[in-house]
Amino acid sequence: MVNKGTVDYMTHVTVKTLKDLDRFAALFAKTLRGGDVVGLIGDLGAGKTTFVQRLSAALGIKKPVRSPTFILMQLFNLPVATAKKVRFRQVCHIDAYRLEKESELMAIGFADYAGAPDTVTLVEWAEKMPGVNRFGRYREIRISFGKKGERVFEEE
Amino acid sequence: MRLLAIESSCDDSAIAYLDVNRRGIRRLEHVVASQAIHAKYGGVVPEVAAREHATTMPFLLDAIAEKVIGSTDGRRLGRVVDVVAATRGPGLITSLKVGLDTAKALTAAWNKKFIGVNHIAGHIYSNWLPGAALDRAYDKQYPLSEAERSRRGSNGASVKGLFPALVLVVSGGHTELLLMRGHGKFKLLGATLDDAAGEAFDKTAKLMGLGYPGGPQLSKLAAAGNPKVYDFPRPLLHEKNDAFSFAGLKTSVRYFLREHEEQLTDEKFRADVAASTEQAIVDVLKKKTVRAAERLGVKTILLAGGVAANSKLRTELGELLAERLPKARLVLPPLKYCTDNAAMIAVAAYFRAETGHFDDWRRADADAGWELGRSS
Repeated sequence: MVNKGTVDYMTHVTVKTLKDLDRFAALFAKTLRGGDVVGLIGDLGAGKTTFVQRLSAALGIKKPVRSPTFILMQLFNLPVATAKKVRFRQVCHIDAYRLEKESELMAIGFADYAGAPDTVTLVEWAEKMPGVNRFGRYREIRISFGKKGERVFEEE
Repeated sequence: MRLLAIESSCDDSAIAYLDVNRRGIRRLEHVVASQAIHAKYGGVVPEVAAREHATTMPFLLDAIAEKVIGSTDGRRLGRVVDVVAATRGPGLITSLKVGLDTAKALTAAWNKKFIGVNHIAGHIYSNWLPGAALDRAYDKQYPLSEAERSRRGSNGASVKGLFPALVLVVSGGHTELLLMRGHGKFKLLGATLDDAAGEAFDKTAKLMGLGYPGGPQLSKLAAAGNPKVYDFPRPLLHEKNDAFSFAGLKTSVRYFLREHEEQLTDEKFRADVAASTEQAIVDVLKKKTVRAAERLGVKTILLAGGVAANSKLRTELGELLAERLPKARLVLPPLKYCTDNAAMIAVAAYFRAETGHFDDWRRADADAGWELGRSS
C-alpha cells in the first residue's frame, strides 16, 4: 500500500458493487492534478468506461459519459467551482480500442490535451499505445476480473 | 436549390452535391474518401479519423467537381451551388474541423449561404434519400416528393402527414430515441447510458474472435444460428424510460463464453451465441421503440444510423409495429446511406434552408458534444 499524498486513497482495491466503485473513484479524484495522463487497462467488460463515468460524477461533471470507442475522444468541462478547487478545468476521455498505431493517436489531437496543465486525460486501452507515458504525469490503473464477478483496481 | 455538403465527423470524409426542389431530387452526386479516389489523385487514405483528412479534402473536392461540372475548376463548381453545408457536430473535434473549415472557406470564396448541420439530424434525413422505404411502399424515383405528398395528407386515408414521428438512431457511437415534431424539430427522449448498440455488436463479435468491424460478421454468423437457445440479458427493457444500456450485455456474453470455452470451436454453438446476442440487442431496440411510439401516438417511425442496415432489426421492428400500431408508418433508410455520408447532410441542410434560416459561417464552430434535441 503506497500513500499517494491523500490519506485514504489505496492503490489496490477490490470492488464488489457500484458503491465500492464510487468510493474508489471519489478517492482517486482527489489525487488528480492537471497534466495527469491516466492509462486505463483492462479487458472488454472490465469496467473502464464505468470507472470514467463514476470518476466524472465525483468531479461534478453533469454531461453523460458514454463509451468513446467510436467517437475516439470526448471532452468534459468541470463545473467552475470544482475546477477552482482541483485546479484543472477539463477531462479528456480517449479510447484507443480502434487505433493501431501511435500516429493515429496523435492525429486525433492527443498531444493537444495530454499533459496540458488544465486537463486530466484518461486513456482506455492505453497498453496499445506505449508512448502515452511520455505525456504529462503518467499513471496507470489496471482493472482485473475476480472469481465472483468482482473487479480489482490497481494503480501501479 | 443546389447544395454542396461536407461530412467529416469521424472516420469518413465525404462530399455530396444535391439539386432538389419541392417536387423531388433532381440530381444527387456523392463521393467518399476511398482508396480508389486516392489512387487516382495520389496519396494514401488515412486509416482512422482525424487531421489527416485535411489531406483528403482537396481530392474529394476535385472528384465531386468532376462529377458535377466535368472538370476540377472550383470557380465553375461555385456557379452551380446555392448553399454550402457541413457537419458541425457531434463527432471528433479534429475531424469535424477539417470538413467545417473547408465548407467555410468555400462559403466565403463563393459568397454563398451556409448551414451547419447536426450529424444525427443528417442520419435521420437519410430517410428522405432515394431508396428509402416509405410507407412500406418503395418509390424509386421521388421519395422526397413522396414524403412531401404524404405530409400534405394525400397519401393514404389512415395517416395524415408524417409528424409527429419517432426516430430510433442506432450506430456504433449512438443509440437514442428522438421525437420529431416537424422538420428540424427534435426532442431527445432517451439515449444509451454506456455503449451504443453498434458497439455491442462489434465488441461481442470481438469476444467471439471475429474481425473488425464485427457487427456485420456477427449478423452473418447469426443467420445460421437459433436465436432462442441462449437467454442473454435485455438491459433496461422493463424500465419505464427511453434509455438504453448495452455494457452489461457485453460483460454477460464475456462470462458466458468463458464458461463454455471448450465449445468455442463448435460452429453450431458459435452461430447460436451470435444469433442469441443479436436477438437480445434487437429485442431491446424494437420493444422500447414500439412502446415509445404507442405512448406518444406518433404517425411515423423512422430508423437511422449504421445499425439501421441490420436486416433483423428492419424486419422485426416492422413486424412488431404492424401488430401493435398497424396505422403507423415505418420508414427505413436506404442501405447505402445508413453509414456516415454527405448526402444525408445535404438533405438535412435543404429542409433547414426551406425555412429561410441560415448560419453565419464566421461564427460556426465545431461542437463535438452537440446533442440533438437536448433541452436545457
